[in-house]
Amino acid sequence: MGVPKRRRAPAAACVAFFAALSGLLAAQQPGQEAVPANPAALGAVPAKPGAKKPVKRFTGPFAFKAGQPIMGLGKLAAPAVIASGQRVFETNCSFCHGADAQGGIGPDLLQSAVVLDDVNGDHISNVVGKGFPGHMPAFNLTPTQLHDLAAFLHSRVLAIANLAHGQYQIPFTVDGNAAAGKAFFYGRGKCSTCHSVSGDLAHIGAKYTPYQLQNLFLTGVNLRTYYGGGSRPKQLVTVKLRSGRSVTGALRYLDDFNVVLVDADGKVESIRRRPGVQVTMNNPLAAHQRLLGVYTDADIHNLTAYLVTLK
Amino acid sequence: MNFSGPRFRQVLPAAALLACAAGLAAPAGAARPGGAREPAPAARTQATPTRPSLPPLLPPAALLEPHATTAWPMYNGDYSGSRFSTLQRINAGNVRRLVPVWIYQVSGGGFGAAQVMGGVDATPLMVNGVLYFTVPDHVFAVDARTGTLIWRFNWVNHGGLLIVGNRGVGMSGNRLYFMTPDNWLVCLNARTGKEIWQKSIADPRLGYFSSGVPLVVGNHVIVNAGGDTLDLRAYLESRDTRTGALQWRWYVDPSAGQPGADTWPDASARLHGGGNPWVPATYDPKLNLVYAATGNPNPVYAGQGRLGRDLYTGSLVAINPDTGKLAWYFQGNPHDTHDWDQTEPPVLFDAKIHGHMRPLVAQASRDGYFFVLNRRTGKAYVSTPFIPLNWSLGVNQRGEPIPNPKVIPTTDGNLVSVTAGGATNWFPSSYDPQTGLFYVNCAEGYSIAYLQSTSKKASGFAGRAVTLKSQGMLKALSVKTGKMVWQHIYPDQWGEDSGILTTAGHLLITGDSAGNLIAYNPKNGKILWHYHLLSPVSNGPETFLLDGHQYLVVGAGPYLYAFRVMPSSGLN
Repeated sequence: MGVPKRRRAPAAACVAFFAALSGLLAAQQPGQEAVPANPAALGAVPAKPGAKKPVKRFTGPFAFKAGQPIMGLGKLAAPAVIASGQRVFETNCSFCHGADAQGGIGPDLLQSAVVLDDVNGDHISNVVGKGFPGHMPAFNLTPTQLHDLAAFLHSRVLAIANLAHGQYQIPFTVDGNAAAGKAFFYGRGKCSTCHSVSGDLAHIGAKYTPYQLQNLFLTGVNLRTYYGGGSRPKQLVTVKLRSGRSVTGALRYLDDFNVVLVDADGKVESIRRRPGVQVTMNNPLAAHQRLLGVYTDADIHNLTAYLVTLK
Repeated sequence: MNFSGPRFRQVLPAAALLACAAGLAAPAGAARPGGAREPAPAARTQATPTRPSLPPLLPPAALLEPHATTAWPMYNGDYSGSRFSTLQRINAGNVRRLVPVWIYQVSGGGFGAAQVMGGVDATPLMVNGVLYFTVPDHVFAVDARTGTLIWRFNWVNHGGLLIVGNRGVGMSGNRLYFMTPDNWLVCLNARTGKEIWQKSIADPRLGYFSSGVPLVVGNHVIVNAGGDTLDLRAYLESRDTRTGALQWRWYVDPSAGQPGADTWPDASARLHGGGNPWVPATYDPKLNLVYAATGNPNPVYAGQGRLGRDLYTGSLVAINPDTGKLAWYFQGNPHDTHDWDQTEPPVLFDAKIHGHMRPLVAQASRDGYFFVLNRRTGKAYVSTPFIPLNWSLGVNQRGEPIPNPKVIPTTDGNLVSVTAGGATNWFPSSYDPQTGLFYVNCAEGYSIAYLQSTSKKASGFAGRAVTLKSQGMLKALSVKTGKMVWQHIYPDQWGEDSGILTTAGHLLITGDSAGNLIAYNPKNGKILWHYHLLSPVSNGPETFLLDGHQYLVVGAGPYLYAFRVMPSSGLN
């Protein structure tokens, strides 16, 4: 049972690699896969001459990007090529295979072996050029059209796959009653205890989409900032020591054994949680979290309808 | 299916190394479109059998031993999944002297194919002084005494998702079985790390990806592919330990005319119904039944196109490993619309219920229900929520929860009193026969569930849920009543992702989200010891005896730690 030597890379190369990697990781949430920052560097299919600079099509935490091989399908083509393929599809194929290529009177193309086995149109050309007697007529398309059609269908497979990772819009509709939402705001919800529609919430309906607004008041945090690497809202903690002295500051770390806080002067206090040491959290989200046990779905939708009016 | 992808173990060319060094993270193998079609990989069918003269490292009989002590021969330590060890050299009296003896780091120094993503979710096997474990795409053999690398197997992945982690290897004789993210079952020589054969069990282009651990039962390697990104037909299958040949395949989504098929509205919904049994399965040698937990149906959040119970998704199923035939099922999460599966490993033990010793299977499910069933028949003794929840209206005559039809994702949002991630997840729970308690790391909280598509032909996830509040907890549940006996509320509000180990040394070992490895008194939840790791516990802690010393081994992100009790004279 031999023990192989560990491979060593040149030190400079290591530094460059980890610098690049740490740059990528810095913007990520825990549990996410590192994705290359620059798709062009991976040899993305170049755009057609004269085409605009490729626009990043799939964004967000888990998105599969142009040039990134995924699901064994190879690399995603440039947007201009995909758009061209979409026109070919809409003109010739969508009548039977559905506008989304997921099937109509003809089969779902996104789970079709013909599409999945295709490389730059080679399999698709065969089927499209010959048709299936009794099922599908033959179509006379140019090699470029076939190539682009394949690129479009592959992009559809990736787009559907991206649905798993939040790459779509919720078709959110504001269907609540604004007046009832206002009554909740000033009454049962007690929102007006901390918030003012002419103060901190002024014009909030113009700053966020209704969907964002709803998640904002449900959690009490701006999820975009929150999940985009932004810090949690500052949590104040008060620690009463065994000596009777009490320190208050922003919470830096807490577990069952220690608490670390930064006091008003910026001094870091690290305190062992021995018996007699009392830790009191001032949870800035407490009022929002309490409401989760109070809301009905109608309360939530009404409150959203009201906040939307605060343009 | 014409599927010829490139799947060779790759020797790293200098160019790849340089490309990586420049920060390009070049894919190590050629991609399909844009690159050449890969040649048919004829070479890999050539088996390189182990020499018959070598004695088996893990004799098949050793797999049948309950609560193994001088080995940790499979994912859960034994077939039961109880993760209880009879060892007591580390105990409540000396746990305060537990110290790390080595740390192995899996990341670092890896480039191209050797690059590592993800942490150690795997529970390492320990056989004959060697630990075998994985991260996605990689298998490691590490000396259990010193943490020295013995060999490493690097896989070139062509499209399987890495984000989901990998739970480890199965073993029998001198062979290891490993699932790659792109759904290849790879058989390795445990002594050398050399590949013996590989078999594709699912097509990654359809959206299947694998994170599971193969379960070896006799001459069967029982595996599955996961993935609910696209709407797939899910299955569990068995391969021959020697050749990798397919022995049987059991479909989660039944064929037309089969029992369960009528719980789907139509063939299209049924054959794209998902429910991959991605959680490591357990096994009862006496009853000869494999217990597998199936996943959520597809499309994940959109139930309108698959009205009905959607059998056998969201179920605990008992399957005969020789025939692949279903013996019984219990659907703990019917018509799931929240991506909760019915995960958490099924835990097997015997205990007195209503005055009689009974063969039981218990599961704290991700939908918030705790089940204790007769593992011979599937009859429910306990079926009760272990966290507050609003999605269920109670249970039916079989003890299966009845979903509340009003708590389903909507385009304007529907409030659910379970977090988006569910009450718990894949990380192992434990049953301690000394206390009669079942332990689970879990979260109480709220989420709001949105529907992305109201179409009956919705695809993929077709919705999302946003966690609004989460509180992580460790709970001890009575297996007789399902009632909580004690709980530890973690100071951090987020859920913990650590597995649990209990031992005859009166210890419960698990981790918190701050990065502490913590030993509790399993009777009352009192904390006895802790050690702050470089990263939170990312797998199920394990223990074994080696050279007369009891080791505690735990994965923490990219690190693997080995602990021993420091003798008063110091470590030698």
